[in-house]
Amino acid sequence: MKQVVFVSGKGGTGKTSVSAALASMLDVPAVLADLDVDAANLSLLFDTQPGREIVFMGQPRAQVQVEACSGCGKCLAACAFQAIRIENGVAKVNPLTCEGCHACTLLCPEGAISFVPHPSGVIHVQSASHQTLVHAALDVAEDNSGKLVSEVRKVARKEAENQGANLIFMDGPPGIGCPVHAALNNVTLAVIVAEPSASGISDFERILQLCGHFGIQTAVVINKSTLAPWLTSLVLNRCVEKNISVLGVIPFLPDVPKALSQGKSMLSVDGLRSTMTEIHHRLMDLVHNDR
Amino acid sequence: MKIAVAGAKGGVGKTLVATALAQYLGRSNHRVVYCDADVEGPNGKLFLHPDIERVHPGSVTVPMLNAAKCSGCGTCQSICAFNAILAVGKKVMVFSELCHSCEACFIACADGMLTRHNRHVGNISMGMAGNIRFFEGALNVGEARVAPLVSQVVHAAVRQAADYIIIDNPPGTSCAAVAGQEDADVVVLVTEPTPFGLHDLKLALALGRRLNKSMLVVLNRADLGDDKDMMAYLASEAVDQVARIPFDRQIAVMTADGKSPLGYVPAFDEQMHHVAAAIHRLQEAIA
Repeated sequence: MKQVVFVSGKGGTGKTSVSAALASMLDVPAVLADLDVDAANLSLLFDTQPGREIVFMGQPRAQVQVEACSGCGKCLAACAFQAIRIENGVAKVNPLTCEGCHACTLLCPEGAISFVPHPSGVIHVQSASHQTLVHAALDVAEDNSGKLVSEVRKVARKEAENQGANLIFMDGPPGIGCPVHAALNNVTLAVIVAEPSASGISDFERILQLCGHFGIQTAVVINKSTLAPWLTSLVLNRCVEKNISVLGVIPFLPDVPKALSQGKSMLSVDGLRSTMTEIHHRLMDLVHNDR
Repeated sequence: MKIAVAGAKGGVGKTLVATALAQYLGRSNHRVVYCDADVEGPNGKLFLHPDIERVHPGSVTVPMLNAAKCSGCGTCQSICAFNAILAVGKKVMVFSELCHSCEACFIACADGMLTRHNRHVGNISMGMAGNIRFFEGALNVGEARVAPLVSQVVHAAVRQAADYIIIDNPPGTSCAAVAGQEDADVVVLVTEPTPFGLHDLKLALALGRRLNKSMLVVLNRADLGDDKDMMAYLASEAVDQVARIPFDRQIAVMTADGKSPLGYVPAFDEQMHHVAAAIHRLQEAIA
């Protein structure tokens, strides 16, 4: 199974718009997945049909049985997250800060604390034009986004196997933390969508370093290149230095944000189709030549 | 007053607004702190050019095993909710990168074979950018857990005696975003009038409601697309849009180059004036 993930370090560089455009150009069976479980946007660029939903269970949270609690406060001292306070003589857990670690149960003399699993997100399996799209929504203020990313990938893999598809095409989360680690795990290729801006360069370096840290094959697409041509050259030089393939360079055209603001693909913008076709060809060459 | 500049979507201009707001408020001799809590990609320094005076390590507590004396009973493994401890036969191994620092294993190990050890996860830098006191958290590349460093840098910043403490938040709506907003008196949500922007604004607003925060909205690249749906949504939620930053090539190019458009693009200054005025109004309402 070939797995391609689009990442960027910085948000807003165009991961979703670029990956959606390329996904719509694929001429091999593939399953699409949106791994930005905090704010999944890929489905907004497709006409999706209502599909299947899978509930994601988060880390079980502490729950105090009020009748059993003596209000002794030993759990407060045990909690490293300050998630417990005594209210009206009994312990009360703040579900926003409880991480589900069980430290409090170890010290509770009454055995009054139990751990209750709770739903903390939903995985959607939908059909988007001619492909299946798996995406998820983590409930706000939840943790465990890395685990949900892994779950989305598992579901996507199963879908691909069932359909006889050999490619999973994934839009990754921003940043360099846990959800990104989960997104990069065991992929065939990570495509960094880089933006030539002061912030973009800084975050490009960090995600490049992370891909290197995990030893992942990496390629680069430069988006909005004409915004700061001197920084585009800088990214190109870095890629040569690091022996990283540049799949293509997409200019900054005001019509692109306008098209996206209307929920249209960047392919609808004059002059971009040939650029994107070239990027698509180079990408598929890299994916097929892997290993 | 503690102001979190936040938003679920990346690349909408959170850092642009947070740094410009710090500069704007700093002009009138207020004591201003800027805190870059987007520890996965801290970029405020690219606009504020601070002189860094001190760098502290940000660290979390993880267990270290006294392997020579450990009986290998495996109790620590069974209590760890995060799979950070593995007992194979009599051999116990700690994977500190998975540890959530809950310290349950220290309580569970009856033999006291686990000792506290600091794992360095990133750096907290402090300095001055003109008259703005500057804080930044930067996560080490390869570290997975983001929220503890966000909390540490925010806590360091909010301890300062200041008139305004501006916290530049990480994107998203999960634990790191909670850590960045928890202490704020007001959350300024930055978004753009696109379907992505609207979708993510709804999530950000839901988080703010969950945390019981007063919220204001700044629309960036406001004339980019059709903002009808967004304005209708904000009206239905009774949240004020306090500024509309235009989609302007000069702002885009200056920002790309790491320059603040404040003082150079009058239309931008005017919008920052609106943000500051809205904050003053809120401040008076709270007082």
